[in-house]
Amino acid sequence: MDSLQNLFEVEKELLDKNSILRDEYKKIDLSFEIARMVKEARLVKGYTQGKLADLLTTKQTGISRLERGLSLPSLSFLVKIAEVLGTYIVPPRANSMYVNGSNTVITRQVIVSDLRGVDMYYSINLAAVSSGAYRANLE
Amino acid sequence: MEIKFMSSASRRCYVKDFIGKQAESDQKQIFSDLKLVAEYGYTASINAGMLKSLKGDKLKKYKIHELIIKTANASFRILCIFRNSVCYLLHAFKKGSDGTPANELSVAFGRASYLVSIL
Repeated sequence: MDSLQNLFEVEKELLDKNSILRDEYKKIDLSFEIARMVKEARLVKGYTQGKLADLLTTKQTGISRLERGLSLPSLSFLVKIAEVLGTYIVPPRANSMYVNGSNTVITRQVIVSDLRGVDMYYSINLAAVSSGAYRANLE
Repeated sequence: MEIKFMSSASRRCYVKDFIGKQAESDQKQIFSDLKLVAEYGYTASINAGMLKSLKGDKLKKYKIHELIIKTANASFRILCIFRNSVCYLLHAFKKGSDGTPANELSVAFGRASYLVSIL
Protein backbone atom coordinates (compact mmCIF):
# COMPACT_ATOMS: atom_id res chain seq x y z
CA MET A 1 0.00 0.00 0.00
CA ASP A 2 2.62 2.51 -1.05
CA SER A 3 -0.13 4.75 -2.39
CA LEU A 4 -1.20 5.71 1.13
CA GLN A 5 -0.08 9.19 2.14
CA ASN A 6 2.32 9.51 5.02
CA LEU A 7 2.33 12.12 7.76
CA PHE A 8 4.68 14.51 6.00
CA GLU A 9 2.68 14.40 2.75
CA VAL A 10 -0.62 15.03 4.48
CA GLU A 11 0.76 17.91 6.54
CA LYS A 12 2.27 19.48 3.43
CA GLU A 13 -0.95 19.08 1.47
CA LEU A 14 -3.02 20.78 4.17
CA LEU A 15 -0.42 23.55 4.53
CA ASP A 16 -0.36 24.12 0.77
CA LYS A 17 -4.14 24.39 0.69
CA ASN A 18 -4.67 26.58 3.72
CA SER A 19 -2.94 29.95 4.15
CA ILE A 20 -4.44 30.39 7.63
CA LEU A 21 -2.78 27.14 8.68
CA ARG A 22 0.53 28.36 7.25
CA ASP A 23 0.19 31.55 9.29
CA GLU A 24 -0.59 29.48 12.37
CA TYR A 25 2.64 27.50 11.88
CA LYS A 26 4.69 30.67 11.47
CA LYS A 27 3.21 32.32 14.53
CA ILE A 28 5.41 32.43 17.63
CA ASP A 29 3.16 30.89 20.23
CA LEU A 30 5.02 30.60 23.50
CA SER A 31 2.41 28.38 25.19
CA PHE A 32 2.47 25.97 22.27
CA GLU A 33 6.26 25.84 22.09
CA ILE A 34 6.66 25.20 25.80
CA ALA A 35 3.85 22.64 25.75
CA ARG A 36 5.53 20.80 22.89
CA MET A 37 8.94 20.81 24.59
CA VAL A 38 7.59 19.54 27.90
CA LYS A 39 5.56 16.83 26.18
CA GLU A 40 8.55 15.73 24.13
CA ALA A 41 10.85 15.64 27.14
CA ARG A 42 8.21 13.67 29.07
CA LEU A 43 7.91 11.20 26.18
CA VAL A 44 11.68 10.73 26.08
CA LYS A 45 11.66 10.00 29.81
CA GLY A 46 8.65 7.67 29.48
CA TYR A 47 6.57 9.41 32.13
CA THR A 48 2.82 9.77 32.09
CA GLN A 49 1.38 13.15 33.00
CA GLY A 50 0.39 11.65 36.36
CA LYS A 51 3.91 10.49 37.13
CA LEU A 52 5.39 13.87 36.17
CA ALA A 53 2.81 15.60 38.34
CA ASP A 54 3.68 13.37 41.29
CA LEU A 55 7.38 14.14 40.93
CA LEU A 56 6.60 17.85 40.83
CA THR A 57 4.11 17.52 43.69
CA THR A 58 1.43 19.07 41.57
CA LYS A 59 -1.77 17.80 39.95
CA GLN A 60 -2.05 15.90 36.67
CA THR A 61 -4.61 18.44 35.48
CA GLY A 62 -1.95 21.14 35.82
CA ILE A 63 0.42 19.21 33.53
CA SER A 64 -2.44 18.57 31.13
CA ARG A 65 -3.29 22.28 30.98
CA LEU A 66 0.36 23.13 30.37
CA GLU A 67 0.70 20.56 27.58
CA ARG A 68 -2.50 21.75 25.93
CA GLY A 69 -1.10 25.26 25.88
CA LEU A 70 -3.76 26.53 28.25
CA SER A 71 -1.34 27.83 30.85
CA LEU A 72 2.12 29.29 30.78
CA PRO A 73 4.45 28.01 33.52
CA SER A 74 6.68 30.31 35.50
CA LEU A 75 10.36 30.12 34.67
CA SER A 76 11.09 28.57 38.07
CA PHE A 77 8.48 25.87 37.46
CA LEU A 78 9.93 25.26 34.01
CA VAL A 79 13.37 24.78 35.56
CA LYS A 80 11.82 22.31 38.02
CA ILE A 81 10.17 20.41 35.16
CA ALA A 82 13.47 20.32 33.27
CA GLU A 83 15.27 18.95 36.35
CA VAL A 84 12.69 16.23 36.92
CA LEU A 85 12.82 15.24 33.25
CA GLY A 86 16.61 15.08 33.32
CA THR A 87 17.08 17.99 30.96
CA TYR A 88 17.95 21.64 31.45
CA ILE A 89 17.28 25.20 30.36
CA VAL A 90 20.09 26.65 28.26
CA PRO A 91 20.83 30.27 27.38
CA PRO A 92 20.12 31.67 23.91
CA ARG A 93 23.71 31.81 22.78
CA ALA A 94 23.55 28.06 22.14
CA ASN A 95 22.88 27.20 18.54
CA SER A 96 19.41 25.99 17.74
CA MET A 97 20.83 22.74 16.50
CA TYR A 98 24.24 21.27 17.03
CA VAL A 99 25.93 17.95 16.94
CA ASN A 100 27.09 16.26 20.10
CA GLY A 101 29.22 13.25 19.26
CA SER A 102 27.27 11.00 16.97
CA ASN A 103 23.87 12.23 18.11
CA THR A 104 22.03 15.26 16.86
CA VAL A 105 20.87 17.28 19.83
CA ILE A 106 17.78 19.32 19.18
CA THR A 107 17.36 22.57 21.03
CA ARG A 108 14.24 24.64 20.51
CA GLN A 109 14.41 28.27 21.39
CA VAL A 110 11.67 30.07 23.18
CA ILE A 111 11.35 33.80 23.47
CA VAL A 112 10.12 35.20 26.73
CA SER A 113 9.37 38.90 26.94
CA ASP A 114 10.08 40.38 30.33
CA LEU A 115 8.32 43.34 31.92
CA ARG A 116 10.67 45.85 30.32
CA GLY A 117 9.77 44.59 26.89
CA VAL A 118 13.24 43.18 26.43
CA ASP A 119 13.32 39.81 24.76
CA MET A 120 15.03 37.15 26.78
CA TYR A 121 15.79 33.92 25.07
CA TYR A 122 15.54 30.56 26.68
CA SER A 123 15.52 27.12 25.28
CA ILE A 124 15.15 23.66 26.60
CA ASN A 125 17.74 21.19 25.53
CA LEU A 126 15.79 18.01 25.03
CA ALA A 127 18.95 16.00 24.52
CA ALA A 128 16.82 13.94 22.22
CA VAL A 129 18.28 11.81 19.50
CA SER A 130 16.34 12.65 16.40
CA SER A 131 16.32 11.59 12.81
CA GLY A 132 14.73 14.90 11.91
CA ALA A 133 12.74 13.08 9.24
CA TYR A 134 9.46 14.66 10.17
CA ARG A 135 10.61 18.17 10.86
CA ALA A 136 8.78 20.27 8.30
CA ASN A 137 10.79 23.04 6.78
CA LEU A 138 8.48 26.02 6.65
CA GLU A 139 10.96 28.54 5.35
CA MET B 1 7.96 4.83 12.98
CA GLU B 2 6.10 5.71 9.83
CA ILE B 3 2.55 7.00 10.02
CA LYS B 4 0.24 6.44 7.06
CA PHE B 5 -3.26 7.68 6.42
CA MET B 6 -5.72 5.04 5.31
CA SER B 7 -7.75 5.76 2.18
CA SER B 8 -10.88 4.11 0.87
CA ALA B 9 -11.07 2.36 -2.49
CA SER B 10 -12.45 5.65 -3.83
CA ARG B 11 -9.32 7.46 -2.51
CA ARG B 12 -11.09 9.19 0.32
CA CYS B 13 -8.63 9.83 3.13
CA TYR B 14 -10.75 9.85 6.28
CA VAL B 15 -8.34 11.15 8.91
CA LYS B 16 -6.85 13.78 6.60
CA ASP B 17 -10.34 15.05 5.81
CA PHE B 18 -11.17 15.13 9.50
CA ILE B 19 -8.01 17.03 10.47
CA GLY B 20 -8.54 19.50 7.61
CA LYS B 21 -11.92 20.46 9.04
CA GLN B 22 -10.59 21.38 12.49
CA ALA B 23 -9.51 24.83 13.65
CA GLU B 24 -6.03 25.71 12.37
CA SER B 25 -4.57 25.87 15.89
CA ASP B 26 -5.92 22.36 16.53
CA GLN B 27 -4.48 21.08 13.25
CA LYS B 28 -1.08 22.39 14.29
CA GLN B 29 -1.29 20.61 17.65
CA ILE B 30 -2.57 17.38 16.09
CA PHE B 31 0.36 17.27 13.66
CA SER B 32 2.75 18.14 16.46
CA ASP B 33 1.56 15.16 18.50
CA LEU B 34 1.56 12.82 15.51
CA LYS B 35 5.17 13.81 14.83
CA LEU B 36 6.11 12.95 18.41
CA VAL B 37 4.54 9.51 18.03
CA ALA B 38 6.33 9.03 14.69
CA GLU B 39 9.63 10.16 16.14
CA TYR B 40 9.63 8.24 19.42
CA GLY B 41 7.61 5.19 18.42
CA TYR B 42 5.14 2.79 19.89
CA THR B 43 6.64 1.95 23.29
CA ALA B 44 7.45 5.53 24.27
CA SER B 45 3.98 6.67 23.22
CA ILE B 46 2.32 3.89 25.25
CA ASN B 47 4.49 4.64 28.29
CA ALA B 48 3.70 8.34 28.11
CA GLY B 49 -0.03 7.66 27.87
CA MET B 50 -0.39 9.17 24.40
CA LEU B 51 -1.35 5.83 22.91
CA LYS B 52 -3.70 3.24 24.35
CA SER B 53 -4.57 -0.28 23.27
CA LEU B 54 -8.33 -0.65 23.15
CA LYS B 55 -9.96 -3.49 25.00
CA GLY B 56 -12.70 -5.72 23.68
CA ASP B 57 -12.58 -9.04 21.84
CA LYS B 58 -13.64 -7.53 18.53
CA LEU B 59 -11.03 -4.76 18.72
CA LYS B 60 -8.26 -7.10 19.83
CA LYS B 61 -8.57 -8.98 16.54
CA TYR B 62 -6.83 -6.12 14.75
CA LYS B 63 -5.15 -4.65 17.85
CA ILE B 64 -6.85 -1.32 17.39
CA HIS B 65 -5.20 1.48 19.34
CA GLU B 66 -6.30 4.97 20.26
CA LEU B 67 -4.11 8.05 19.96
CA ILE B 68 -5.06 10.62 22.57
CA ILE B 69 -4.62 14.19 21.40
CA LYS B 70 -5.68 17.09 23.58
CA THR B 71 -5.47 20.59 22.22
CA ALA B 72 -6.32 23.93 23.80
CA ASN B 73 -9.83 23.73 22.34
CA ALA B 74 -10.79 20.10 22.25
CA SER B 75 -9.90 16.50 22.81
CA PHE B 76 -9.43 14.21 19.82
CA ARG B 77 -9.04 10.49 19.34
CA ILE B 78 -7.43 8.85 16.35
CA LEU B 79 -8.00 5.12 16.02
CA CYS B 80 -5.18 3.20 14.38
CA ILE B 81 -3.54 -0.16 13.85
CA PHE B 82 0.13 -1.16 13.62
CA ARG B 83 1.55 -3.43 10.96
CA ASN B 84 5.25 -3.96 10.24
CA SER B 85 6.34 -0.83 12.14
CA VAL B 86 3.82 1.32 10.31
CA CYS B 87 0.97 3.06 12.11
CA TYR B 88 -2.14 3.25 9.93
CA LEU B 89 -4.62 5.96 10.90
CA LEU B 90 -8.15 4.67 10.36
CA HIS B 91 -10.60 7.03 11.95
CA ALA B 92 -10.65 10.25 13.98
CA PHE B 93 -13.27 11.95 16.04
CA LYS B 94 -13.70 14.69 18.56
CA LYS B 95 -14.11 13.28 22.02
CA GLY B 96 -17.21 14.16 23.96
CA SER B 97 -18.29 12.08 26.93
CA ASP B 98 -16.24 9.48 28.75
CA GLY B 99 -15.33 6.33 26.89
CA THR B 100 -15.03 5.71 23.19
CA PRO B 101 -18.48 5.61 21.52
CA ALA B 102 -19.42 2.21 20.09
CA ASN B 103 -20.27 3.66 16.68
CA GLU B 104 -16.77 5.17 16.35
CA LEU B 105 -15.22 1.82 17.27
CA SER B 106 -17.43 0.12 14.75
CA VAL B 107 -16.25 2.45 11.97
CA ALA B 108 -12.61 1.80 12.91
CA PHE B 109 -13.21 -1.95 13.00
CA GLY B 110 -14.72 -1.93 9.51
CA ARG B 111 -11.79 0.08 8.13
CA ALA B 112 -9.23 -2.12 9.92
CA SER B 113 -10.86 -5.15 8.38
CA TYR B 114 -10.66 -3.63 4.88
CA LEU B 115 -7.11 -2.39 5.33
CA VAL B 116 -5.77 -5.69 6.63
CA SER B 117 -7.37 -7.45 3.66
CA ILE B 118 -5.45 -5.31 1.16
CA LEU B 119 -2.11 -4.97 2.96
